[in-house]
Amino acid sequence: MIQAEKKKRVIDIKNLDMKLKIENDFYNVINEVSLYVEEGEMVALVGESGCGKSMTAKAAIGLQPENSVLTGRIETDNENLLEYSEKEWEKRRGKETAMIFQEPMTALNPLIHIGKQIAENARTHGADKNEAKQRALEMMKMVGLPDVERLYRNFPCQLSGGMRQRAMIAMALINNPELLIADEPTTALDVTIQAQIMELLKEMNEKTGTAVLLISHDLGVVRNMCSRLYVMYAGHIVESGSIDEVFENPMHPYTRGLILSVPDVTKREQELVSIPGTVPSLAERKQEGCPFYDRCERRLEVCQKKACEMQDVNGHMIACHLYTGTQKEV
Amino acid sequence: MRYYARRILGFIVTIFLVSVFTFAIFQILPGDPATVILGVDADPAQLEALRASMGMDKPMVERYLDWVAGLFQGDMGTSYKYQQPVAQLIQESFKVTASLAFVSIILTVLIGLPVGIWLAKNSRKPVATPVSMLSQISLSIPAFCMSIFLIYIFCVKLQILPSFGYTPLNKGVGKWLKNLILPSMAIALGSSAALIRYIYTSINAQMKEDYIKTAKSKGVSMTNILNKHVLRNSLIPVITILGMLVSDILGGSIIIENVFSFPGIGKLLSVSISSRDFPLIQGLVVYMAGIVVLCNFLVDMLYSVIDPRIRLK
Ligand SMILES: Nc1ncnc2c1ncn2[C@@H]1O[C@H](COP(=O)(O)OP(=O)(O)OP(=O)(O)O)[C@@H](O)[C@H]1O
Ligand SMILES: [Mg+2]
Repeated sequence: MIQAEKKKRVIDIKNLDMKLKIENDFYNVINEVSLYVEEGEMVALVGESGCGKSMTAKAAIGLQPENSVLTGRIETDNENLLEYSEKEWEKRRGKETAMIFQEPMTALNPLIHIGKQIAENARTHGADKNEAKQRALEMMKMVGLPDVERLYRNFPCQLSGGMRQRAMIAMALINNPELLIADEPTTALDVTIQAQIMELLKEMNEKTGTAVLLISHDLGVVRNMCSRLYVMYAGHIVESGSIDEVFENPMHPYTRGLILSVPDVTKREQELVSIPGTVPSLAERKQEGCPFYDRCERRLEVCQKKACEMQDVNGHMIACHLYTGTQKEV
Repeated sequence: MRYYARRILGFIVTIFLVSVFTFAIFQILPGDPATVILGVDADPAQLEALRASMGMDKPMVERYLDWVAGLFQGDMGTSYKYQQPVAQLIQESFKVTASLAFVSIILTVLIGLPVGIWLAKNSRKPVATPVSMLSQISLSIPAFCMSIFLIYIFCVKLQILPSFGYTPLNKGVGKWLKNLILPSMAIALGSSAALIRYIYTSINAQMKEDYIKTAKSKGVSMTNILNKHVLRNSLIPVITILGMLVSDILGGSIIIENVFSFPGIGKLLSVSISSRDFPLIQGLVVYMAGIVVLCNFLVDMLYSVIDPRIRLK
């Protein structure tokens, strides 16, 4: 426990708020999000589509939309990244913080050789041409790309989706960053390839020590990969804790719903439950009360008026009135 | 490789269809060339003899084949008006028009490319508004109005450039250019405005692509993103525009050559139409169509050089 506290947080998001300005109105996209990743760790951020996972990720690498306003803090190395200038961000991106995206088919420039695009990340951060190429080739080998010398001179259109995502991972990790943000890196791939890419991410995490913030809506995948988990709903973190703790003892009705909606291969007769309703759009979101109130099966009177503060139940963080004042057991 | 084979086949088929179409048009057109040459009061026997000598008494398919066979040998018939081989007339005029088109395109690219890129880079700054408006205005002014405007400034007021006439290239590049600069400018101002629009929209569209996000996530600066990633991608649609500009310029040259008294294809075409010089018109139409098709073919080839997605399919 004491050792764990000494670990450096490669990103520490504190009370982050993001508002989007759309036609003179401001909409809350992210509310009071707090989230950290320690060095070498694999952390998951899960939630249904539209919860604000990608927005959180974009904010964490300084690529939020131009019509957004951020408040709060994003800390690393005792600095508040929200105060970064574009120049400072350019130095950080790809070096300390890297990112890979959902769509490997379009994430690469169609007119530039794969290898050159990977090497570009090293070039941008100071490597000379030869060194960048050598490192790119090394990384390509490391992520399991075959025949790297030839592949270096291939164009993205000559690679399959899985290979492109491998190339993206090579590109992201070439400068040995502290943190890799992977925003649904396998959603666009075939099921068989998905597992391979996830396996690769885990392997790279172990080999290079790069911490990973894995964004996903697939709880099954997350369970095998990560050590901690954040559950996001409509711009709020509603629950977080260690993977084992949260999966064995999910507390928030939303988390329970998410877990119940994952098909479990061991229970054949299991009935799949899905949470009724959908994530409210930005315009539909209420200003007061619990964000999950409308879809919650166990809502209380108090939930309509007042959202629950994040509370610590033995290291398991939870924002739900059902557990106010209670200890671990329900 | 399949791509090239398909393109070349397409090229041949298009040329064939153009030749059939052109030939057919002049068969359908009312009026008998023999009557045009000899006049309405001509002796019927004489008319008959002339028709036979022109091959008009043969069936249509045979005449088409004769004509095509002639085309392959560079023989496009004889002009009624000039009493000279059509091929030779076209060849001489073509040098003039090609010069005009060449200088116009160079000017178009020289003006349009940098301004379009500059506009896309600075679209948020207030200086962009007047530039964008100016390009909008020059886009809406017809080339012949532009010519008159340019003649007024450079020939009448400043008196530094000639207002008409053409000097062949072999009399010196300076003299050649001096005559070409105004008519080329008249064409280029409008077409470069179109090019500016296209580059601007194309760059803006590219900026929304996913690979830009990737480049940003590597910490690549905006300048490098534009120069190394965006420009090449946004040139692909622009090449199409350049191909289309060639046909625009060929069409536009008919008017411009008349304004500046240039002995080019445009001039030849307007003379041939007013004198109903069918072999000449026919030859000119095939010639121009051929050039347009050839340009589009070259554009397709250029695409495949730039875009590996096409080349490697
Ligand atoms: N540019 C934008 N303008 C307006 N609203 C936006 C914009 N981008 C995203 N949103 C909205 O912000 C909210 C959060 O979006 P975000 O992309 O972060 O969701 P997500 O959790 O990543 O979902 P997914 O799983 O579909 O990727 C959504 O409701 C979305 O509709
Ligand atoms: Mg997303």
